[in-house]
Amino acid sequence: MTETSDLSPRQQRLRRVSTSEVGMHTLPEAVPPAGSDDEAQYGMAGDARGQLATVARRFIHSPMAVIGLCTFFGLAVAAILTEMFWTYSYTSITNTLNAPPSLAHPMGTNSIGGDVFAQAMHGTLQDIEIALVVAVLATFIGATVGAIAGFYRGTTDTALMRFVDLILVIPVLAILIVLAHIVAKQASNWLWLAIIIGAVSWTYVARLVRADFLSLRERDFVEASRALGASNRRIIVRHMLPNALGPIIVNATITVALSIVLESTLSYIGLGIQPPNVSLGLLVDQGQDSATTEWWLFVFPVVILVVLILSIFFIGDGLREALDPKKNRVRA
Amino acid sequence: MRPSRRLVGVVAAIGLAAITLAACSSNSSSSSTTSSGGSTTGSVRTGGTLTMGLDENLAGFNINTSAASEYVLQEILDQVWPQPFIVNAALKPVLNTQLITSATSGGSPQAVTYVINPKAAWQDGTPITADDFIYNWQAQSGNSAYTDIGGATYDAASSSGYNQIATVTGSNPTGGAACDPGSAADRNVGMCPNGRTVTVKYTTPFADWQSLFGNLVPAHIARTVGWNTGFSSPAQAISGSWYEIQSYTANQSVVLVRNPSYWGTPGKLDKIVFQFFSDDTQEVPALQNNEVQLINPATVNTAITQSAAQVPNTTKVTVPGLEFEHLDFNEADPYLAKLPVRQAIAYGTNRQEIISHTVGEVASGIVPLGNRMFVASQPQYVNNGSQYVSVNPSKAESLLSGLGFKKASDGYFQPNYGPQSGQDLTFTIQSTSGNSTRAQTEQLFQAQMKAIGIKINIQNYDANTFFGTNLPNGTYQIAEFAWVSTPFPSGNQSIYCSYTSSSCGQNWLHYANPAEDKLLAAGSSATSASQETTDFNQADKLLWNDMATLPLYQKPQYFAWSNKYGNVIPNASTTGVPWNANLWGLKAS
Amino acid sequence: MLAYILRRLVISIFVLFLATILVFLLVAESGDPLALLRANPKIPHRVILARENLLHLNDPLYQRYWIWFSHAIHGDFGNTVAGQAVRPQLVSHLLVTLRMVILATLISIVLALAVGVYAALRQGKVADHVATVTNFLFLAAPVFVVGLLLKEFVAIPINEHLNRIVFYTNGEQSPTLSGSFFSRLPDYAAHTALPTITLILVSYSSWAIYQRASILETLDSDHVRLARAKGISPRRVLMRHVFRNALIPVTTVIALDFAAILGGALITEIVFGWQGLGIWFLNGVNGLDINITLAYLLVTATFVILFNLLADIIYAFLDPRIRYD
Repeated sequence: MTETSDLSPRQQRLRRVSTSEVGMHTLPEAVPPAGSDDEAQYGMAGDARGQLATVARRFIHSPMAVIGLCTFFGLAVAAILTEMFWTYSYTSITNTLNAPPSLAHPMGTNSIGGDVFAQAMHGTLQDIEIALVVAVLATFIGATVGAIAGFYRGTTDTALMRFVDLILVIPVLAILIVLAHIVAKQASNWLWLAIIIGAVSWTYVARLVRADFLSLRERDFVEASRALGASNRRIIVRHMLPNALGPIIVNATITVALSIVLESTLSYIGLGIQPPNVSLGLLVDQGQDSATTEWWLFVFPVVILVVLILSIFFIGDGLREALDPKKNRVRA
Repeated sequence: MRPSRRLVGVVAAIGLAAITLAACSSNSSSSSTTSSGGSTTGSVRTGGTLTMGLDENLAGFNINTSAASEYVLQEILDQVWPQPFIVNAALKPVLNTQLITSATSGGSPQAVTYVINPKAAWQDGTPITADDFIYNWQAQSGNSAYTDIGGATYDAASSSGYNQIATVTGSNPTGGAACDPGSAADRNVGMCPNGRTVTVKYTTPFADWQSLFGNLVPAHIARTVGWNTGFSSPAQAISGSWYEIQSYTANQSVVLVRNPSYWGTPGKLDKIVFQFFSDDTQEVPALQNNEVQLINPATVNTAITQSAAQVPNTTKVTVPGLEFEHLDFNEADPYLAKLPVRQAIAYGTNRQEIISHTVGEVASGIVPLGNRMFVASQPQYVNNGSQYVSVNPSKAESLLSGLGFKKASDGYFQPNYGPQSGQDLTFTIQSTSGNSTRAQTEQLFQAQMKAIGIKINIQNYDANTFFGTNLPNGTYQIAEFAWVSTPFPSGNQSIYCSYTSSSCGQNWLHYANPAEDKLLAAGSSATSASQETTDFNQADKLLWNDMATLPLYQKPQYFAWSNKYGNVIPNASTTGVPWNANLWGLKAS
Repeated sequence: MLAYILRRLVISIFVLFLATILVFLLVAESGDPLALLRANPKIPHRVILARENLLHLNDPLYQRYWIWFSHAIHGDFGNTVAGQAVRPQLVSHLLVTLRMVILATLISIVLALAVGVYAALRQGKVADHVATVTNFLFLAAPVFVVGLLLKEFVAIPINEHLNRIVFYTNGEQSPTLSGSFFSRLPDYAAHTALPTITLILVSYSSWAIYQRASILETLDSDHVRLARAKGISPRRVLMRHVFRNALIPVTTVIALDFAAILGGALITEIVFGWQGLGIWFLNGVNGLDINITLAYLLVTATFVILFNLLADIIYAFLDPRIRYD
């Protein structure tokens, strides 16, 4: 079963609980009323409202997911508020050098007199910005490629999948390192950084969507739509994609988390965000030598980084559980 | 992560080549001065091992090639290859009398005579003779008549000085006419292999003659294995000095042991080990673990000094280094071309604040640098920039207003001509990426310029792009980086002489002043060291008047070593702290 | 089956070849490796020309690639920008990295299986929650964070407390190490401990999560239910029905994850200062050294391809329903 093995391990690990693909589908299959022009809405409207409520309810019942959601939004809101209202900005330079946490500087200051709290919050914001751009880009490209490959099969499929292989054969970090060199190293380079991270992250979504489409296209409702004269594009976009939406959403969430990991790793080795701009990974890199002497330069960025990533993972895991009809229950 | 932050390694590829090794202040032309050791700090016993940390990997052992010319290699070769002059801790070049009994320069045209110690020999028994001097000259002369094995062009890191040598001849032991290298055929069998006195004749006077022949490559080996790529392992890098290389593990360590064939006073330690660190912040934990006993990390910041401060039983010393940070102004820019603009920037830069927020935290006593040719710790130093020592924002603003620039409501000046006419006066400052001190300096500079009404954008590039493309092509406005000063100021000529001249390859400032050219040329060909110093200080004064660049501060060097060892004397020159490693030893008591 | 493997192999090699072209173009076009030298006027122009010729910098791109390719298939990976042979460096760095990676992978597999099974069997109880949270924690924390935390807050305090060096934080061995292999072993171990633990912690977590899910699913499956209904003892049910089905799928996951392990090893090497493949590659890319970059690519891509193929083969044996077209 080439399709299954083509699925990335990340997918398998985090989203699948069964080795069969049936479990991937989040919405029960059904045939749209014959002749109805509402086929398009089938995926999300009407029944979807009921489904949305079910999903939401299941999500709320998972404590980890709720904690993740609250933490993530808490951090994001805190970061935005800090940018707007805090006395210091991330570029501020004061005359208190290397000071431990105090009332004026809740996370202390660094060796140039910069306020660590402002920098950490700006870094959080920067990381979230990058991650969202990456997720949108990667999901869009990946879903498109996967849909086309899965739907059309044949040579299109083979060509596209070999292209995916091309990217996967090179360790992601290696590609990123090579690409990061080409990007001009300016403080405003975060958009370029997001683009190149997105350029290597779409492969997972592509394989996922392709696997879904490969089986979806055999379903009755697709045949029905075709019999009714729907164009390929309409079938893909309005019938099949909505059915594959669930895993795509979960994957997008995981991509957000993974892109933060990638970006912070790049910044740590010096190829990511450049000073005077900040990101959490860069702060960890700058603070690592002071971990025992000026602990606040190291501990705060590390904790915030891990909490941020963890919260997104929890959200993703919660979504997966909520969207999956074959939910695991406690066994006797 | 920090890929090697050896700024010196990057800059010194430029600065080092301007002055080969042995950096120091020359203060007398005849240099048969004291012993090569410098002062000792107490008695030490024979025996023992010392491990020193280095933070850059080696790319071969021939330090005179462009491929392998690195700071750390110099520190290793200090004790292995013969050096006629050694720069001591006071930054003076001192004659290595165990190798060369006398070296004098004089006459017109200039001629330098070296008398080699008759006992001096390489460890395989071949004597050190004029053959070595002649070969080393030919390889670095830049003359296409001389080629490496296989007809390859000699790869020389620097030909300055060597390309002013007319001939190098060796004495004839039988007392007859001096032996002249003559035809190419002689090169294969050895040129004047018995000559113990070497005479070097210059076409035009070269004031920094003591900087030449700094690390002698064994001619008889180079002829067989090749100068360019032959010295890839210790087997070729045979010793002609106190210690020999026992083993070399790539990216790991180099182990030196006493050279049993050394003819002079043997070294005290049995073994000197150099251990490589990919990240110099690792050196402090290694010192703490006693994995190394002496460190000299390239990055000097509070993280390193504070964690090193906690290591017991060690001596920590900060020494003013020879490297200095500065700002370059590209006079091709229509605004930086105007002297008042450059002066305004100089008056508006609070160098004291920059110092106190960066290097001032690790070393005290660092002051804004007042000279480009010499650093404050060199005896030739004269503070030519005293009017800029304190920041003067009002003067800066009046200079800009005097040009007709108007201050807008957002606080920035707006020029009345050129491409930025009617907009905020904005400059971009560039530097190398991955360097937190430089990034911090740029931030401080940005804030200071904002206070006098100039907008600054910060843009950093990796070293390759910055030094290789942006600076030479002039695609920058303000640049921040470091030069390495040396006792031999002639290397400064190519930086400040008029860019219109083809020989001024390192003038990236687009600066031209014929008066400056005269002073620089006079200094480089001065016949006495004092004349050279005077000329170059005059040249520097003119540069202050013209505000071609703004020196910031001299960077400190940091040394830490275990108290069990004696005679470790920090040396800020490119020779490095192993300059007297033959005297290092475990303390007797 | 054999035909399938061969076909996959051929396609993979073709893909690898394309990948080398892509990377070659990227690195060749991103700058001039001799830029720094060129900026130094002290170096005679002829020297620079000679270096250029050695590196074939003035040749057209396709010719440069062909030169590299024609040498590479004979095992000659060319010289670095500084003129040293690439292959000996590649081999020595690879051995260093493998030391860490093989050990870490083996232990991670064992740990992942153990934790996954244990958590699954104790589902819903405290042990399960603890294990799950820990798994997620290590999954979320980037490699360099785990490494740094171990270095600063585990190794150094332990060393200080015991007043001797138990964990080395830099390098893969002490420089003046000599003696027989066995006498050197303790030194190797003390240097290898921290990086290996780091790599283990970041690798095992995802597999453990997958393993747990896999066991849970098997426990819920019909044939296990049937076995229980038949009255077979729980232990036998576990051993013969659950484990056999649940343990094997994770091997495919592990095999497919090898590329990620290599990436993790790269970062671990940087954190702990090992002179392994990763840091060699990073410095090579920073210096725009094409030969180093391509050599690294070849080695890692070959590993990834082989392991992917291994995963497919295992999966084929596992699931009799699979038919390869």
